Amino acid sequence: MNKKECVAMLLAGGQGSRLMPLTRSTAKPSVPFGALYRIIDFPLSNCINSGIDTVGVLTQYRPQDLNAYLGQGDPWDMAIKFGGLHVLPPYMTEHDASWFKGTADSIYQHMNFIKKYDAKYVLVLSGDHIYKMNYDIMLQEHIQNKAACTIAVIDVQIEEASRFGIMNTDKDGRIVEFEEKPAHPKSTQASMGVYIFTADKLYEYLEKDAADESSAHDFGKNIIPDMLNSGCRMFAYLYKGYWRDVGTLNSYWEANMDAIDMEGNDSQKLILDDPLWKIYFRHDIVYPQFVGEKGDIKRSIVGDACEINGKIRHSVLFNSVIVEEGAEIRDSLVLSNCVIRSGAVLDHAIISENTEIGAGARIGVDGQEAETGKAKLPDGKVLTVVADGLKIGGGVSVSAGSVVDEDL
Amino acid sequence: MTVAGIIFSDAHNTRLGSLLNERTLAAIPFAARYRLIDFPLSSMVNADIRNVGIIVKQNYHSLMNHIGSGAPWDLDRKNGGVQILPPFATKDNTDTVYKNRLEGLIANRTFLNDIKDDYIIMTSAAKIGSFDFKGLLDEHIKSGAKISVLYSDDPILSESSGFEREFISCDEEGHVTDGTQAAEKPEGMHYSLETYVVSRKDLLAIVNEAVRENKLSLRRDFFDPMMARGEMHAVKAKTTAVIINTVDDYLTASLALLDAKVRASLFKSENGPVMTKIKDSPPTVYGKDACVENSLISSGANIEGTVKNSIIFRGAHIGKDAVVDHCVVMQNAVISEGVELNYAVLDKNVYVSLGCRLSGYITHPFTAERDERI
Repeated sequence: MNKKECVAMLLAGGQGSRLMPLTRSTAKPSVPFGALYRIIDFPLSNCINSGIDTVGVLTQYRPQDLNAYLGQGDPWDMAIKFGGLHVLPPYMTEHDASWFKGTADSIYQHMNFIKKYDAKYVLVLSGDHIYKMNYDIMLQEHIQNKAACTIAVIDVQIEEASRFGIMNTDKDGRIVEFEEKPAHPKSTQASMGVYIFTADKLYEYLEKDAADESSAHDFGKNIIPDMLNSGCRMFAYLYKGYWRDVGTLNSYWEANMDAIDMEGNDSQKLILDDPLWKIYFRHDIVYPQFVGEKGDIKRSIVGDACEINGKIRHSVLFNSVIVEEGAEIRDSLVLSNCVIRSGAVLDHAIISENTEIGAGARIGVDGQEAETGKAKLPDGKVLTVVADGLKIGGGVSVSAGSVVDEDL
Repeated sequence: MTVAGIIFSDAHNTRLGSLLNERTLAAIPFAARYRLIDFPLSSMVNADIRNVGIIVKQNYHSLMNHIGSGAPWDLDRKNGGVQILPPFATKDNTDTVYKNRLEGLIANRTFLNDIKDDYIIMTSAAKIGSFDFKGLLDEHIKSGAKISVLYSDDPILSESSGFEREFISCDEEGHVTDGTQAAEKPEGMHYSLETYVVSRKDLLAIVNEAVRENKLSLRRDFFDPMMARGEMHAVKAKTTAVIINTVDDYLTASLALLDAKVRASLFKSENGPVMTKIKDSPPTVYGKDACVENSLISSGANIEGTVKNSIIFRGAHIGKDAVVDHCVVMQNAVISEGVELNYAVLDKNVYVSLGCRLSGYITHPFTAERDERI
């Protein structure tokens, strides 16, 4: 037991600026998700469920909250003596000190972590995707193909393909061309941001990239094209199942809602109640939720320690949310420790943690018809977002499409 | 000044029926996501107790599984932690199942000798709450008494159960003057919570004397004489106490959780939270026809029907058009479509098939045992 076949490196340093204000005080991977979880629980649970128990989490942007959440990795069964979960921040040496200059640079700076375990393969993951994937199946394909690199892809609609990095492959699945956000996509195989590298090849190209001062030190922009141009054996692994990039507020809302309605096929619904593929998380010490005499909840998922006396429809309530009598919550996400006072109405809203919505306040109800220029949700509505730790006064109306980041 | 804890996992002469079929009392599921042991164990941890022994007699496999290494209570420690203390055979004695608490303590003399704490708090998993054990110790020390006992005047229990409870009376200074057992509360007496604080030295002296002089009863041979000598002090519990000796106690206590004051006293007490084993259950799912009111619901439950005045555990599934009222539905129980249930206690994994109608009464709840199919 002195080596690991495969070590995972999880890129968790991104700022998540498109998820503002949810990321104003925490890193994107530690943004809460699905009533009980955080985004990073999905890749970490996928790792342990796939038999990968050694993960380096590369952190940079506002890491305190994320570090506290990760701890020693015990929630994901990674508090082990050889291997386990390790937080890998940027660091100083006797020569210099620098932030991670890009995704590739972050792993370059921590190559010794991989070498310590003498890993043959390296799985590179991002911290902003919601999916349940068995990486071991992909690894077996990678090994069979004798590939230098395997990139997981998902089949997207042709009209959406130009938002993704698209892989064009030959009949054996070998990648012949990679196009980042092509205007005229030639295929619908979109990169999921999940890569497996044969470790020696990864080291070789990371060293080369580090020496190139003109490089952006990015996997998508530099490493992958460079390997492809050098004729490396690179394969696409087609993943069929649920996968969502939750990099924007709209996609974050949509993915949360995918955990409610169990309709459609497996790539459209996010099944959280899955004994064969559990999503593990760090628990708050909480008690059960209580639904009062006036509580009325339908088509929703709810976390622990909530006290509900209002009307809830098609919404996600996280832990310790209090909903007073006469309040109504529709198509919304209410994060932990919020209080929704009596008579308040929420419609297509995201209320971030520790926020209080005053009695009779209206969030996202008024002005749904107005043209705000905001991207619409699939049901034609626009999202209204209230940041964490705020107090919205009684009777205040926040019009649809607003993003509130101070008390009102 | 350090304290160790001893929890008696079994209560003698209970009337808990099938709830004890495959488990010791301390492992009875309670309050949607806990087991009874979580309450005394959390009270101890919240009072900075780092050494806890749980004395068990039989059927303790589910308790061992629940406690594991003690990590959920931060009791997986290098020094101390939690230990389950089961009966064991010796070369002189192979008939080892304890007949009473004193025998349990005698068998675990090594534990009492090995721990180096100054005081011991002994409690029972049948008398729970979110208690202030620090305050109990402080009052005990201040009183100068040899032993102190916790009591309550208004514990939650089923008053009509006819079950004999423990009572004490005390004078104005808190000296315990009398103790008795009765089915109804004698005028002026208090419910004993059978939670004692005593110095380890004195407890060891009791145990050694019992062995030496072949004494058999903690109450008759030790506590009663101590009472007579004015050496026992009474301390009133400041938070809600729950006593569970019978199935109707169990249902009464479960339904009492629907009272906000009881929940606040148990779960949001200043003494600290109640901790339990982590299960990684998914969020509670409310379906499009769900109708839930006045109920305590755990994460991991899936509700498609109607639930009123009930306690629903993790993984329980309430089918469409089912109506569940004044019930306790434990872990992974399945209530099929169209079932009607009143005043029922359904144990783990119970399956109630299509269209069944089952009804009990508060004093005589309908009970289904673990894994039963109805």
